[in-house]
Amino acid sequence: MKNKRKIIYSLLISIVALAIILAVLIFRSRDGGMSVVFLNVGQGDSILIQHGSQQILIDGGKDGKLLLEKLGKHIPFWDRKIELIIETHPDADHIGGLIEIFRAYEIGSVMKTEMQSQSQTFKTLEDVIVKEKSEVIDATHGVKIKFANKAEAKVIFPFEEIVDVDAKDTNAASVVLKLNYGENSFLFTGDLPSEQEAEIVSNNIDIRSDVLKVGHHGSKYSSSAEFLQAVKPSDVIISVGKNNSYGHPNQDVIQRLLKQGVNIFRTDESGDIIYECRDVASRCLLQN
Amino acid sequence: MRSFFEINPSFLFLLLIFSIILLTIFHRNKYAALAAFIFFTFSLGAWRVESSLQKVNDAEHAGKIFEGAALVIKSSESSFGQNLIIELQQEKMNLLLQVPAYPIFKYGDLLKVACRAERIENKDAEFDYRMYMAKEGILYSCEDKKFEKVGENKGNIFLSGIFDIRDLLEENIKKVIPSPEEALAGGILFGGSGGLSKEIQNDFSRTGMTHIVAVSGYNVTIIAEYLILLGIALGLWRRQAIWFALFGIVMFVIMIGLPASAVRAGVMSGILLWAMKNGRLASSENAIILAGAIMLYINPFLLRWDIGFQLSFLATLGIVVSSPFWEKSFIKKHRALGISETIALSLSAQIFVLPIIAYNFHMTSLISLLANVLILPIVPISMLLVFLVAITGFIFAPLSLALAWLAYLPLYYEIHIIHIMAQFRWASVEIEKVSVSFVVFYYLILIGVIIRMKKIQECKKQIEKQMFGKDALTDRISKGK
Repeated sequence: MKNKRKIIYSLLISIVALAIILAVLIFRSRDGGMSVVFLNVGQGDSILIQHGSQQILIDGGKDGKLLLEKLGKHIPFWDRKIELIIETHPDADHIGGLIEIFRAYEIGSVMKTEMQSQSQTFKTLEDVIVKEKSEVIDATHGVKIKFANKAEAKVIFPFEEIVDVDAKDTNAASVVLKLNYGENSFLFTGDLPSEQEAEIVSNNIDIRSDVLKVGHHGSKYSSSAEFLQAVKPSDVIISVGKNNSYGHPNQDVIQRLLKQGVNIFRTDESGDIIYECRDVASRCLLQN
Repeated sequence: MRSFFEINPSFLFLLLIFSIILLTIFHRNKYAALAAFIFFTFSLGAWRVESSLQKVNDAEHAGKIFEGAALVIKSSESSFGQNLIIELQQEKMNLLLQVPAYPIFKYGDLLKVACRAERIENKDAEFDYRMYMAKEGILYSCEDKKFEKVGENKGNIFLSGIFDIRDLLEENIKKVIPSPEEALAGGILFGGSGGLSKEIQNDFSRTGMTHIVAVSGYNVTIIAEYLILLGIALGLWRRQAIWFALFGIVMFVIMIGLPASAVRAGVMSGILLWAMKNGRLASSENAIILAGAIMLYINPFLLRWDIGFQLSFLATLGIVVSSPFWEKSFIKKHRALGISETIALSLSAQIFVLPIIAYNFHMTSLISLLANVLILPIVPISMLLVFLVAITGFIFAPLSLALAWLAYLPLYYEIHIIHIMAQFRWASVEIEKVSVSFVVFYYLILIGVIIRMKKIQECKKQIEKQMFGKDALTDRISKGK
């Protein structure tokens, strides 16, 4: 008798708990905002753009375990699908964490260039993409990604398909992406070096953005003064690890940024950097 | 004959502590005979350790070049990639092979290896990595290596199968529960905190909660209880259900890769279940000590170089030795949803392991008791839900997802409570340096207290036996503790 009552009670509690979870789900899915999160993944890049249950993940840092924990924190627990992953270029500090993601989440599509790498990390990731049957989209200038809320991301760079896919300098073919949402704009530059920044500037492409993720973790080979002037950001984000062995970010770059009068935010100092955009008509605000 | 097994382990190295603790528990036996046995087992133990140490120090294979096929028999994550234990097919010798994170190697992979065997180096003065590996039977690492994978599934078919099942179960959990809850789920079910990030692992150790993600007697006992319930629900007789649970425990211990703690926990639960099946209820003290003695005889290095072994052995012993006292004088009077029981059990375990933790980790958690009280009652239900999530993942994915939401609640609670408590500055205190003599002194005092308590207990038991005809032990084991 006593056992039966126990079973009934636990069943009831389970149903109530499920109902509460469902209520929270419904409540949350009505929330029409958008968020851009620069994840603190140590020395590396990873950016999560999220609107409701739609997610784009740009790069994944180098540590899968850490990335999964970060995603668990920012993606609602019931959402087990990431619509799109963008690999800016095949360096370990950008793609290393992505392999683990495939084990935990369903990945809709993968956008990347044809750039190759000899590293085992890259090869394993390529195998996983094939095994999980994710759609592969080639990233070239003009490709657009549309969210349900009219937000739009556009590939700025590379301009055309890459010819020398085995080139040593993988940074030079970094995918550059611009996100527009109402009056707000974000520019994500991967590890793009100054030479290619100049290429973009000379092509007169509209890259003016409110928030710029500076290239290559603030290294001296990126973020030229001309490029910064063309982007005219009010905030810049440096995605960098604490006490990294590369000496990123470079002091000259910091000086250049300060001269522009921008706010500098660093993931090693601030942790995850979150911009919340309530709706299409309002400004995206930095959360802290 | 009984006391022979109980005092068999090679006690020479880790002080007299262990032997004296054992001694107190069997103080009912004839002291003289006991003393003789201690001398005997001491010399036996010393000889065992001596001969094993000799092998480590000789390092006769250092510098030798090995070439040929090798089987991966174990693979684990490390901070820079993977640590593989490989078995050279020709020499039948095990080596450590450190490889990058990708590609991923697993049990049964066949490699073609060429490398030079070198003694394992201690990179960190704080941690004796050489002896840590030596206790696993690994004396050399593979340097200047060249390796490539030439085949897979070349291991024992039965082991491969059981490891594959574990991987699939873990995969099912990962698919529906977000991180870090997913990593905790894997930890409480299969043991291991490897899936948790450094920050969260640190939270766990600051609050003294690491034991819930380590395989211990505690979670094997929970599994055994669930298996018996399941057996009975399936319509088995109680005796058959116990057989069923025994089989389940063996499978479980193999599944998690046969770590020392799981083997010990499995053996203990096994002995208890066996005794229940035969209607002869052995005292749990005997079961633990017997398990410890056998394991030490097989691998004498565990005693000194396996902190996990020391901790789990002492914690379990602490619970078993002091629980009759608590049960009688405290819990009977203050039944508050089992919380007082949790307090009592956590406290007894902590009293027993405190000096070992302080000595090895230079810290001690002050908030541990509160953390245990808030977390432990939720662990069995989390384990059950996580297990159901993993199983239903094979059968019907939407059900697995719904269960995952249920499992997420307690897991979320556990992670966050632990995180909040780890934030208190006084959650744990650093201890500069604990001397060996302090440790010895502490255990001597502890033994004294236990002897006194046992004596008092004995008197009470006598009286109660006359009154109820039932002793505390029967009571305790029938509750499955």
